[in-house]
Amino acid sequence: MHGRANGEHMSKSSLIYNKDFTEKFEKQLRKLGDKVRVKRINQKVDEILGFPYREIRFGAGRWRGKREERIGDDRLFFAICEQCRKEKHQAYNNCYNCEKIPDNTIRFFEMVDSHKYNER
Amino acid sequence: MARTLRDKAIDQFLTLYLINDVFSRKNLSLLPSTKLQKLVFLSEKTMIDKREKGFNFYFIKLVHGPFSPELENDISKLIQDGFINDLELRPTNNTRLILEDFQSVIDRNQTFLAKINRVNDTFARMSLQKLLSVIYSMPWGRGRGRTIADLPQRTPMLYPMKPEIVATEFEITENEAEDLLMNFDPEAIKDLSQAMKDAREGKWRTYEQVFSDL
Repeated sequence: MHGRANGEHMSKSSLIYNKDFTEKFEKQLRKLGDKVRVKRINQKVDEILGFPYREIRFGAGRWRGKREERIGDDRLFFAICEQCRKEKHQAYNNCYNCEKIPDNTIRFFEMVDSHKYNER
Repeated sequence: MARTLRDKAIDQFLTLYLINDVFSRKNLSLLPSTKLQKLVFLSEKTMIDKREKGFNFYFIKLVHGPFSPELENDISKLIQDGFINDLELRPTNNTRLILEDFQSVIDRNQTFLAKINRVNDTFARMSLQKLLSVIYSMPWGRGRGRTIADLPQRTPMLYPMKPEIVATEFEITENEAEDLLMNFDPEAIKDLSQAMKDAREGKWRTYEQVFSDL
């Protein structure tokens, strides 16, 4: 059910993806107040939009059903609508008007700063 | 030795495992927190006796026998974070998600979990009164026929092992420990709930709105 890093690689870079972000994501980004960090997150978002099916890792527990990518200690949680439907993750992501959203959409839910969870 | 973040993640994970086992396999309808304290104590003691570092709670002797203030605090947190309910300490769907998603951690730590299962098999369905009397009569310390009942109040009983005496350690990767800590962090849970509320209510922003003026 829960896929941790499984090494699956699928290139669908020829597709153009629609993208949207929760208001929470925007608030979290504005709260950072660190231009370098914001730039790195922006670059990671662009990378995901270019090659969304590389290095697939899903969140665990309450984050089940959401894809996860890391930029240093920051974690981005998102879903590709096509994959979300295929994996039957809609119940975990529960987006408004899900059935009207095209498959080639990537929805960015939130960020987590996991700095406080490591002892490095 | 103070508990590390990794120790805390393992402690909460094993506590959830133990609670879930009590309800799912031993069919208890409620788990009083005093009984939970004793089941964790017995599991941790069994591990420490074999120099296995699984549970890392400090236990001291109090009026009703071994008690861990840290465990009490973790139980309150697990209730607050919605992993167990307030009345019976029954595990919720969030506990099921954790145990399913960390099945590989369970698989590779069977030595530890088998000990919890055995403690539950022997003691979970025992009446609290009988369980307490079994614990009070357990021998404690070296020689002299001393039992737990004989210990003065507030005597330290169990504490995290020093690294040099550990024979087997609970196996968990750094990433897995971080994932667990995130799941046990009320602030992270609150942020996620807000994000999911936005998704549910269709509160979406465009790429340009999010990144243009940053």
